[in-house]
Amino acid sequence: MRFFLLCLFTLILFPLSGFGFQIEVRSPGQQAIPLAVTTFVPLEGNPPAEVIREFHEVLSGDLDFSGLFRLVDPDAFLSDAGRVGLESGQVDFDQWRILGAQALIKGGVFFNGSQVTVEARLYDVLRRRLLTGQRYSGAAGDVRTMAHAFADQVLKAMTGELGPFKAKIAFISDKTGRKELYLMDVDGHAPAQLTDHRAIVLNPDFSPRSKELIFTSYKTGNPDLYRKEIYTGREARISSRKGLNIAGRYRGDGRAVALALSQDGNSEIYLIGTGGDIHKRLTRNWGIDVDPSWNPDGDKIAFVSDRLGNPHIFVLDIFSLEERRISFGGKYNATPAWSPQGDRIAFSRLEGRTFDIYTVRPDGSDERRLTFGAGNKEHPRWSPDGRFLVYSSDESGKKAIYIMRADGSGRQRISSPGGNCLHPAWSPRW
Amino acid sequence: MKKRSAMRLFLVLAVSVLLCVGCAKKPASTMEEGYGSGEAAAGSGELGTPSYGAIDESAIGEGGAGADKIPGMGDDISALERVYFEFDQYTLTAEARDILARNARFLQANPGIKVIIEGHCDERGSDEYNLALGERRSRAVQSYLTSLGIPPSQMSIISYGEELPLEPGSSEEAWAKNRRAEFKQAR
Amino acid sequence: MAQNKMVFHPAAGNADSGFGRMVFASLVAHALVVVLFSGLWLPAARTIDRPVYYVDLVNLPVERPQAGRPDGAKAEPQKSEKAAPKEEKTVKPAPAPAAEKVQVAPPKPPPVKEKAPEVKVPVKEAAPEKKAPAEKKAPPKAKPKTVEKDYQSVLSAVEALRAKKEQEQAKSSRKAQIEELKNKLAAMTAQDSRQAGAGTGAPLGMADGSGDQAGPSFDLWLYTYVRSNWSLSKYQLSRQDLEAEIHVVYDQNGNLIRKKLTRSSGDAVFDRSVEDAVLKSQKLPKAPGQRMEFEIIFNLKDLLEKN
Repeated sequence: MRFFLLCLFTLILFPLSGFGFQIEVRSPGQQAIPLAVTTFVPLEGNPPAEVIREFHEVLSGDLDFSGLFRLVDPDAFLSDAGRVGLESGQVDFDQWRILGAQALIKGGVFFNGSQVTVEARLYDVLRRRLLTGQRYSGAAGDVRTMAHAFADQVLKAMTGELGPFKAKIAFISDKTGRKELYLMDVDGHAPAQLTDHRAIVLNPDFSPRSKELIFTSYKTGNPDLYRKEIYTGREARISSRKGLNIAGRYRGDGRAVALALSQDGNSEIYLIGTGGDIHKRLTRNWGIDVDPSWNPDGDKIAFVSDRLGNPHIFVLDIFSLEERRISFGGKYNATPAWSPQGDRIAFSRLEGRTFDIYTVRPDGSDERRLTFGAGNKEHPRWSPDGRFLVYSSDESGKKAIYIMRADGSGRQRISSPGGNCLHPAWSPRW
Repeated sequence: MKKRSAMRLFLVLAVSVLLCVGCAKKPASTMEEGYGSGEAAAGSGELGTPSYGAIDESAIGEGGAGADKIPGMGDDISALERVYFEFDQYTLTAEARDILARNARFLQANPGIKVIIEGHCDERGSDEYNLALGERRSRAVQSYLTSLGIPPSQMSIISYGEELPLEPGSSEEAWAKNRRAEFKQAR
Repeated sequence: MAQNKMVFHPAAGNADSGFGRMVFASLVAHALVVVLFSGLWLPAARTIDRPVYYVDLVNLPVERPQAGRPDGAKAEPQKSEKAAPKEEKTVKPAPAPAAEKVQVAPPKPPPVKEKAPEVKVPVKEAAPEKKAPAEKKAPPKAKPKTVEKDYQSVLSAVEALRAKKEQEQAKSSRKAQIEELKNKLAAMTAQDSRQAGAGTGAPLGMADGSGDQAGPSFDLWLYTYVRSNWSLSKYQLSRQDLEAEIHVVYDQNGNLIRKKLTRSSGDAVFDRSVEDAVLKSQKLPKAPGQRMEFEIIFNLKDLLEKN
């Protein structure tokens, strides 16, 4: 008995003695990867400094926003930053280690008078090797797209999944006096007007497969559903039934659309084909059913219904038509958006006097509030990689478009001032 | 005797338990200033009280009498009065019913005039939901008028949700004025 | 004794109801405790299961730590005679290491250890290979008080050499920028309030120490070192309930001779980050004198708690 106790005693004490057997590290000392982004060197043809500067600014901005990195102060950069040799054998990694950088981006730019070619490389400073390298060619005016594309690649190298920075954001703006449809870069650059309906255009949604959008417009006097090809401009009206044809959302395979129709006297959710033909009616009750959002598998829809008296979020199975309530707090829950990963649903809730954005699991558990403070934050939509959210907020007085990380941090405004900007949507990675 | 000490013990236990548990702080989400072009928004990170009264909003050329018309919109018709609704409601108040009774008399006297009943909402909440709610309101008005003997063929309905406020701004008064159904003469 | 409790006095109403009330009160109190602590009603109480020490990596680990605190104050500065001649030697081949000493004792020499690992000397193309061994010999964690003596001589030497270098404009302007940056960093470090708990008056040692040396234990020092070398962003991961384990072996000179991922987290990015952390920690600054083996567990439990 004593022997047994002694053994037990020793075993218990052993880990505590001398050179401790076990060490538990419960969080990283550095919770962002120190990254050095150098200004790329001109290699050939005297590229304009503006082009190089723009690439650097866009790339740094995207990577900073991603939350993965802590950008090392470029003032501290040393001679290797200006060095032309880009092969990993030619990079002096020791310099960068001294600065504490763990990742390094270097590159060079070629110019032939009209065409710009950028070679960009991401290095692992610790292991002294190239993680990813890309070459981009195009007009000088496309340099921002190149930078966004490389930012997406950097994210892929660091996390295994491409970033969403090369995508576009569609939104509605009334700066012409009428609500029209616009398209801009993820950083808010170069907004372009897509429609000229001179009526009311609302709530765009991107097709997952082709470069088109669906949206609602009062162009002919009734809220009808339209489809428009972005780069050819071709437009077609696909649902013009009596009453509402609103809140159209493509299914993940791009072959069907869920929308709200009120042709039967009450706003209900229907499934239609991309040509507009009705496949199935999905809801059937006296309340308002509206605002559908698909899950990535295409077999469930989150939507808003006020059948219980005030608007709440429900989840509906397309096949069994079973419905389940998932929002329980607040008196007004709306604009659900199912993340492309399928694990969370974002929505807006009226809390007190303003709307804020929340996320919740598809079963209704683990509700988290993402936004705080003054202003109404509404209409959240996910980036295609599920890492970020775009939404509208009127905290500045007018509605404007913001992006933030999926945990609510890092938010920044991307729409330019002038008019109200609302109903954003994040395109897929084309 | 035992009773009192038992109660005392219970109280002591309860109080000490409450003291021990304490309150956990909810982490406030941090908000950083953005790099994007345009005005940078200053946000507060804590749960704050919004200052609604201070927001200055100006409508841009939409809605209101005499503004450019949305395609398909009818003409103003002064003989028919608007009716108003409570927040998130489409039921008719007693006052609304009185107004509609008067409107019904006009419509009966002028069977040649076809009307469009527009449903509107205040700006709060989901735009899509408000489109549906606005439709509910116009439908409620239409049903009531039908029950008063107006032929359905004389009326049609449309919803504009929160898109065409009568009164810009974010005050209770403005909102109350925007939660309405109004009549336009069909062309 | 059972008798006492179980005795019924049907006739005496008071005692009966008094007992009944006590039981009821007890049940309610128990239920209250359960409810309150279960976190259903009020937030669950957080238990901190181990004290968190800040070990300054400048305080080298020792085999027989004395009784004290890992963040306690050092008794007296260890006069490392080795440091002084090293400084003189390294001043000549390259002015850069001297710049580092300058940084150690800037305008107001702080009685503070600077962050050793990250702040090293900028490499100059002039003599990269010469500088590397020189750096290794002169431990960057020189004690402030000894350096203070040499500060002036070093400073004048730096000035002289700097005047020489002034001809190469680009290089000297670079250095000036770096100087500024290093000074900024040192000033920031000086203001760093996470200093040794000098207020407690405890000597530098371990709570359970019974030896005779001033310093933290090897495992605590290694924990701090490895952690400071572990960089991972939560945005690289889709989950935070990951855990990996690496088995490491250090030889008696403090070199990592063996590392093996004994338990993968299932996430390649997480695994790579913890292997990187161990790789960066492959050299201990002080020979432990004997072989050491550790199981290092990496997880994100502190992050999860914060959420």
